[in-house]
Amino acid sequence: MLEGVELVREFDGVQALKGVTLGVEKGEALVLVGPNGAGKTTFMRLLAGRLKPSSGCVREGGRVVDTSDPGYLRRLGFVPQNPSFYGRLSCRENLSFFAALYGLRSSSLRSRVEEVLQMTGLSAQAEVPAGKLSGGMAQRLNVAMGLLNDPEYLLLDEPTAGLDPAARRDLLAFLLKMAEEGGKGILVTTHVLDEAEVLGGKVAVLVEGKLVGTFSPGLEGDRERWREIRQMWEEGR
Amino acid sequence: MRKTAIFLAKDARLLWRNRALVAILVLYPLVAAGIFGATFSRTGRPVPVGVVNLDRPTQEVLWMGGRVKDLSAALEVFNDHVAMAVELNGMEEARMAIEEGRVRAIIGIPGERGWMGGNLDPDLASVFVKEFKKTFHSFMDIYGPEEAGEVLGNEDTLLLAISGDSLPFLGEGFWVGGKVLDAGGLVEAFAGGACELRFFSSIKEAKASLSAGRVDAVAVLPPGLVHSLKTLDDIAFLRILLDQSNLLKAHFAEAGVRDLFSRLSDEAVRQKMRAVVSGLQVLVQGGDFFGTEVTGLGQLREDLGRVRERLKDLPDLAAAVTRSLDLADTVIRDLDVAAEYLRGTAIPVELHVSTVRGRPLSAKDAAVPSLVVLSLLWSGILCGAALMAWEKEEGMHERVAMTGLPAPVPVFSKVFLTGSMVALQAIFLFLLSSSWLGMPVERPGLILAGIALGSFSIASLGMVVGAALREVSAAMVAGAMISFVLLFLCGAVYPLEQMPAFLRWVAKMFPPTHAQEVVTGALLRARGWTDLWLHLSAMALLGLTFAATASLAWSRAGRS
Repeated sequence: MLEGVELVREFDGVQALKGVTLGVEKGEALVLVGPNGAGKTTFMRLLAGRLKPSSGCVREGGRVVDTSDPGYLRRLGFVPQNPSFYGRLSCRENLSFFAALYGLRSSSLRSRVEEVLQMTGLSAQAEVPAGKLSGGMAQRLNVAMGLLNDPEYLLLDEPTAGLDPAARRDLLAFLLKMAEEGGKGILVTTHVLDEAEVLGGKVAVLVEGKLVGTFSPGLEGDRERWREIRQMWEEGR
Repeated sequence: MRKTAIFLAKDARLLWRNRALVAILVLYPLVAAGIFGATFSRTGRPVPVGVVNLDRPTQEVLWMGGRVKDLSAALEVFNDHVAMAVELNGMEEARMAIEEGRVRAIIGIPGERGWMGGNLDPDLASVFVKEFKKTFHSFMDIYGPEEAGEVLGNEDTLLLAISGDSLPFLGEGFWVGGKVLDAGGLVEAFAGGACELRFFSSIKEAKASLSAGRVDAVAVLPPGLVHSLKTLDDIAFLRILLDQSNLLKAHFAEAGVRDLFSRLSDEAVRQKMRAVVSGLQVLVQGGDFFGTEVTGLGQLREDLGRVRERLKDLPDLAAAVTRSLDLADTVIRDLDVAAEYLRGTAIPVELHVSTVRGRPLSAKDAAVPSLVVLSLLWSGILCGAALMAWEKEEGMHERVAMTGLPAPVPVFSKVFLTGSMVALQAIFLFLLSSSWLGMPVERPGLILAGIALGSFSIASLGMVVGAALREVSAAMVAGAMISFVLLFLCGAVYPLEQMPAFLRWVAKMFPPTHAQEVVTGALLRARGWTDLWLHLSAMALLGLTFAATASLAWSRAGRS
């Protein structure tokens, strides 16, 4: 399990995250949902070692980890909110470059790149310069880059932002499959409650830097509470 | 190493696919160098100088004057030489009087601003003008009554106007190389390769040509120039007009004109001293002195010998005059020695300009190191800044950080790529410009070391610029601004030694200054490894410091 424990992060004296403890198991998809400014991205970036916590720690398999440790980072796949890649390189070149940085060589590099291209449905666009991909395809490449190192945990920050409904559905289905079949721990942030339900697993609700609760909307025991959350959410909007 | 190579290959591919950026980085310095090279390729050509020869016989009124040193002495000279001096009522009346020929000379006196006029004996004119000049701090010819009116506004300025026909010495000739030359012919004879003369009939016409840029300077040969050159205790005052709207052009023009007149002046001094020496020799030995037969003191010496012989029989008389005879002997001997001494020493100084390279350098030579540093600066800073900011603009620094790659790897790979590219470009430019401008290359190893260390250290500086900014466009603008400032600061354009002390220290904090020192030192100042190792070390140290700073900024940008 990868979990943040009592994570606090301040920016210029303002607490963006107020002691959040939350984790994701391997083979499980956890959706972190909350309105804009709730602290979702901060939590995600703390787990990914992109931010240092003001207090609290990150544990992996029950042990506190140094989030700047290269060994830890290589067990993670991080997909930032905005697709990031070298626009003048093709999809294959982008993936090959990062695969090489992860230490893959020659045939293993080529086969991993092909594998990821197939997994993300990008084989047909492999030679297209990344800067010329459509929004949906660009997001797929963004996810593909996070998968290159075959991570144990995949952290995706609002991966569906800017996608049309069909592309959004496809991507969520793909992520669910990754969790169920690939045995990976997947943490996805979103501010759309419907997406949380589509993914079906655990949903954690974050509001103003605090964890409101963790639910499994599909489970009988959590349905009533989930409905209340939905209602509060809609009223809040 | 492998990951550095992976990064390097990726950046090279990215650069190659961004042709516009490559053009800005690589082609711009070459185009700029081509333009600079073409500009400097014509330096050393003769300076076009306009000449107005006023030293010619004329019926016109000639105006002159300046800041007077001793007013009463000036008035005394005027009164001694100008007959029937009368007071005139103001400048207008004085001007009318001389233009209508009622008087031959007029004088405008400072203070009460009175005017006087009278007649001038042409036979005394040259002595009068010479004596009159001596009472001035600065004496110059004034071009027409309008300018005289302007000059009159100055408190200590004395004005003089003389009818040209009262000055018989106008248009005299000077004996040079077997020919008698007037003032115009004289400057032509001494123009050599330094000046290309264009003669104008009036100052107005010459000034118009100077304003239009057809000539770079105007030399006005004053009335009586040749006479002054020939007169032992006289000085010729020349007025030179320059176009100072462009200081470099004015500098070249002034140097050319000074060169011309210093050679002319040298020849005049030589001739004057020759006249003095031959005068002394003739005085001692007797003979022809410019058409006058002189007996010579040698004859007197012989006579004194005979007198001494006779005095042997007249001891009383001998006792009375021997001392005087000895004194006369001594004087004659001293004059003889003085003539010998002057003949040996009275030659003016002649300069032979050279450099530590053993040959005079031109602006073309000096342009080569500047071109090399310009290319290092432009491409090094901009390419470094662009490559670094590129990663951040595309959000890749974060992704790269997730691979666990140490921060120095991407930075040093970019430094290596940029440095190599810039070094190759600078070497190409150096070889091209030195062959085009015909400069022999010495100490190639030292120059290459300077270019290599300069490239890597300047590229590292570019990395720091790129690491501080998030967008390529911002990094390019910042890089261009820094390049522009450093180009001035490094001594490639303006000499470092002329800058204030604090700016010199600031300049030493940046690698282009040391690159400029090494390339210039090796190429133009005959300096070697032992002289320049400090600059080479400074570049290495600065390069490492900048690269380390950029690495730190990279790792902070990836994790905060």
